Amino acid sequence: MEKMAENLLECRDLVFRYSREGQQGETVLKDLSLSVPSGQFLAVLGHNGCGKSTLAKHLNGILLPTEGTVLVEGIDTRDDERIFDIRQKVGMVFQNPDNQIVATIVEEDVAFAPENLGVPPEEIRQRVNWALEQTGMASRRESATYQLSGGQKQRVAIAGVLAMGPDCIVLDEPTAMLDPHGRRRILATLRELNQAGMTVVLITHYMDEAAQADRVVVMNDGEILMDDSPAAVFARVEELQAIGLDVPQTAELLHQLRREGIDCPEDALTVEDCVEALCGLLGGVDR
Amino acid sequence: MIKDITIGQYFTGHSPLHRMDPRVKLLLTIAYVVALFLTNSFWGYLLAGAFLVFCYALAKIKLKVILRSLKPVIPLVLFTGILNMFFVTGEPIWEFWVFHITWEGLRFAAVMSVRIVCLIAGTSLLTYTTSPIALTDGLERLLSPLSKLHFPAHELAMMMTITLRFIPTLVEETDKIMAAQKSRGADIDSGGLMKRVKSLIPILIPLFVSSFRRADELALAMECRCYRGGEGRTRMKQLKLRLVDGGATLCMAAVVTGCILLNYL
Repeated sequence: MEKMAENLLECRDLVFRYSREGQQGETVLKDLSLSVPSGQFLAVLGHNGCGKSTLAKHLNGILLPTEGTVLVEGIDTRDDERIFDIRQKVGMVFQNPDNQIVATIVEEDVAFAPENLGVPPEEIRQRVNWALEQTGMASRRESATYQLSGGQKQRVAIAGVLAMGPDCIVLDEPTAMLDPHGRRRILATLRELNQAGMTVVLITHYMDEAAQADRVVVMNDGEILMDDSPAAVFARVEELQAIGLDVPQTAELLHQLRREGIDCPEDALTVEDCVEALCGLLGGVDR
Repeated sequence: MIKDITIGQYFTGHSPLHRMDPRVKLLLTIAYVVALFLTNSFWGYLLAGAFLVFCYALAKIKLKVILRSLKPVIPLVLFTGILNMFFVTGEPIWEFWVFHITWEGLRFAAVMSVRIVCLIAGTSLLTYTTSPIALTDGLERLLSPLSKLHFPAHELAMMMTITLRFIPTLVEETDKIMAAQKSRGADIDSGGLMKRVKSLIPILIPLFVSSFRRADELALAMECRCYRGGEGRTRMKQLKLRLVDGGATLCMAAVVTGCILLNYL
């Protein structure tokens, strides 16, 4: 049997190539290796077409690697017989909330995955209640899904994945179609889930979202360019801008100040920390 | 404009009608429709109508909703009514040129109109008080004996669920595409019939393309949530026959018998 895996997710020398009519297509992922330990909040950053969505689709076996392996808790995603185990362990949330909701009523949609898994009815009810509590949607359990806002729909989608009982959730740009308020709620939900022990892989192109993760992986052209803490990644302002990414405004400001020879910290990524650092510099000005 | 379609809409609630088993509701609705066609006496229709009013009151559905659902069928009711009024032979009470109105015609017109109105209102009540999932669930269970004969009961129910789920989404999208095309100068509301039909093309093509994309993404999301057909699937909401179902069946049996017996009065 499989030995106890150290990492929840592990990609080894992953290569992915689209092949059309027997011809070799474009190589989307180039020899990519990545391990995600259990309980981590990982953000994957990159501009459009860098392969980050392709990477996400490898994490629960939607796409299979052309070369190399992807392991989920030690199970190879190529293992046909265990593909549903893998999908149950790694839940996936997509960009457009409208296209991942199956049912017309909130609680019935959340029940979809456990129903597919053949969970007994009473336990489905418990899981649905728990998942709706976790995402703050318990009060809308009987609402029609089409009456919800984009952010609420996306939280229902997250609840639908949680009800499956996964060890990890992978979110592929879950906030791209949401307004700022909806985005903040989703991020808050993800942070709470992570604090409760859930492994979160957030694919995004919003810097301020990535800044809230434990670890940031920056991808460019199918390869991992940086893999570090948010503070360390966002300190490399020029490199990020060279591949067409922005940095959070706070990081940009501190970077500019440092270039002017002002001594300020690199790791003040939240607005509060940044204000504190700047007040410190200005010499004891009370906020 | 397309937003006020109420047929197929569900209103959440906790009335006895909402609590009923969808299988029983489906069968009783069919029984009611049959009763409407079996009866032909005034008292029979009064009974059927009164029963419907009682059910609506029980389900706490607003009068406004019923009227709105009947609006699209008014032309149909008027058409059949007028046609019957003029073309049923019998003892004439009013004649003009080739037109003549008969007592039988009037009676038949009234009967047909009441029948159609009761038919629409009765079947609408089913969807008003049953969530689409419960409805398709009920249908799936009712048809499941046929799956031994390779009848795709689960697949059919799943298709219905997804269709119902996507109707509001696609309606919203149609409105958006229409607004987008109008803002680019498309003229949708004027011109002759042919011109109007042609002007629908720039609306239908984007709608089709986006539907295919949605279907693709939905299939992916369903796979990610471990969907693998109907085999080994459980349901959160178990269907159980309760006291209320027995009561409803008795009521309906009384109405159906009443409708038939009143024919011989």
